Amino acid sequence: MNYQRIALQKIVHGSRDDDLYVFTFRPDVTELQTSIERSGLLVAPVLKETEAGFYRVICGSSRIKALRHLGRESVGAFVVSDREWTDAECLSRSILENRLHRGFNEVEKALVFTRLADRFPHLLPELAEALGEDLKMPQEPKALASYRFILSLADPIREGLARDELSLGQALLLRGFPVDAHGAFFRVMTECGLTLQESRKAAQWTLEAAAREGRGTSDFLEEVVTRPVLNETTSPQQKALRLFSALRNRRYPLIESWNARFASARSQISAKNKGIHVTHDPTFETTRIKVQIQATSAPEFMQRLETLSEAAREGKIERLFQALSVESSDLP
Amino acid sequence: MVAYKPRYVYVESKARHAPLTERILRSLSGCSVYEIQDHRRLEEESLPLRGHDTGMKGQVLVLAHHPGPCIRPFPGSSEDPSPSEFFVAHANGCPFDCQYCFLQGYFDHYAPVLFVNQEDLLDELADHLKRNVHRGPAAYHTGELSDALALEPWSGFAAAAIPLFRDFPAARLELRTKCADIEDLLPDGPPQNITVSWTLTPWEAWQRYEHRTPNPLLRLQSARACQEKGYPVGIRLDPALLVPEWKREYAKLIQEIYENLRPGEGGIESFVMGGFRYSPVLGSRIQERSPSNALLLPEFVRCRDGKHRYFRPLRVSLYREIVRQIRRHDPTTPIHLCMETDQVRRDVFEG
Repeated sequence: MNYQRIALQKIVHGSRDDDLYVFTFRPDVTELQTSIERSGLLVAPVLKETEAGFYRVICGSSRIKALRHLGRESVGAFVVSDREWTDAECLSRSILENRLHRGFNEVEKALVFTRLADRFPHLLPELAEALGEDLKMPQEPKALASYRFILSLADPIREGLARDELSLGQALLLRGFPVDAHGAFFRVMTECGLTLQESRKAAQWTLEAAAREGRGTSDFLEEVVTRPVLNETTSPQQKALRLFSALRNRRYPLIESWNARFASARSQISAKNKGIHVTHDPTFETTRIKVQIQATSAPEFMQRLETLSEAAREGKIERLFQALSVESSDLP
Repeated sequence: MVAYKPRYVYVESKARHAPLTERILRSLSGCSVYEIQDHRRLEEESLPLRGHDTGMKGQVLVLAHHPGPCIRPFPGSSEDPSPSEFFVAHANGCPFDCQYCFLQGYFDHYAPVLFVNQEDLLDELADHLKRNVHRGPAAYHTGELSDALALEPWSGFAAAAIPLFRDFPAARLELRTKCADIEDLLPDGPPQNITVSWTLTPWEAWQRYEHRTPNPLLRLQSARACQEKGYPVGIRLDPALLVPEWKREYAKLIQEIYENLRPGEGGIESFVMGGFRYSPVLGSRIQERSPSNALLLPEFVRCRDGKHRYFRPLRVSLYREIVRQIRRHDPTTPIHLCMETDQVRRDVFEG
């Protein structure tokens, strides 16, 4: 290995073969650019010379990218020849450097696992130490397929995953969506600040409601979510509330209409303001209602009983039970 | 219907020398036979098919020894100190592949299991009948954990069990099936306390969800043949399904029932309806097999027993329409609901 000044245009990049040892996915190098401008390049990249006088990156792809953005023309780098380091040694160096200095994001893990499985399965025993405990190669084909899926996602989604804007589990939920709906649902998860569990529920309701309505998922998301929810300038929490309300109404329209009907009947009793709470079986399996009276004195209690009696005389209690009964108008 | 002829037979070592095992293996020439230790632990054996591979349903038959008891109180009645409904577990699973089947969430694998120590099972049944005769009417079902007749060509269990009921007129035996062409497997001149009942769904549902089964018309033709032999026939619309155009589909099915079966006295004994319901495990299995499965798209609620059922007004609507269609043809045949609440019964029959 020796230290040389190498023209940036001689360093290959962009294709699968060029980036054979590169497992970096960090699209934004702005911070690195600023650091290089301020303090210079502190750690030299490591390159491997190829035939015909070009160079392949082993370590330092982000640094080289930053230098290109800064308009530099060359870089001081450590260079090894083809004979000096085998593929196993290059891979080991690349993986170790990333693993020990900054760790791997989920997209980078996907790059490691899929490239090693596809191109270097015979080197896995040699690379075990470099991979360590935190980069255990997936054994099951299904797990590897998940990482391949990650790599197939559009750039904005992979960038979001690399920046931890969404988790691996959330990204994998997109497998259930047609490709033209990936972007929209990615926005749902990130702009509403959903947890994995919330994302699962939102995904399930979206797909089921769209299927029931016989609509394309992308169209459905555009109409039900993107326009009325995501395009509003409110907090993520507000967006999440509106998201689930919108999805629930489309997934469970009859149940929601019954909830609204009961709420309307209950509001007529003005029960909420007078220490009287009326609830029903949330599944509507029975017509049972539960009435709770809160009072701090006997006269207050009697007053609330009288409110209920008056509501009964006016037919408002009857309307509560009607709201829980199956009428012919309910029936599809 | 895809004919069931297993390629692989897994034989428990305890069942190896049973006369029925030997008879079945002679009749299944060309199949590969594997000896296993326990039919409940196929994962521990080296076998070509196991687990929840749906290929098992058409290709594998398991022959096992039932340690007993094979007669158990019907689910829901087990807390009753004097239960009067029992199911007979002469087999587990079946070669049919219905996407909504609750058995998908029940057993550790999808292969049909036939218990070959039939003398023990029949002795237990005979003894059970004698011990319970003083308690009054009792109902026995085969077809709870399997199709009552799908394995009959090999087992002959139903044909052997039917005569046991002749001396116990207060006990009833129901053989619930989706099979066709089974009438020749059952004895002539049966006692009147034997009912052969067919599970039916509309054609739309059969095509979508009931793989490897005979179509509704073939089942009805077999049912008619059983009526001609003297068997009361039951119709089981369970699960009742909200398929597209369900009103029209059920009208068509009911019409077909009455075109093919003799109604009235000595004809159709009863209808039993039960809306589709699923446990969380079954829901997961259905989604694993087919993520966009339309079975789970209607509005469901999770009920007290942990199962998801159609939202009540949807179920009531479905039941009322089916009752209305039946009554257009037949004002008297009893119609019952299965696994339903008192509220729904009132909504359907009194609302």
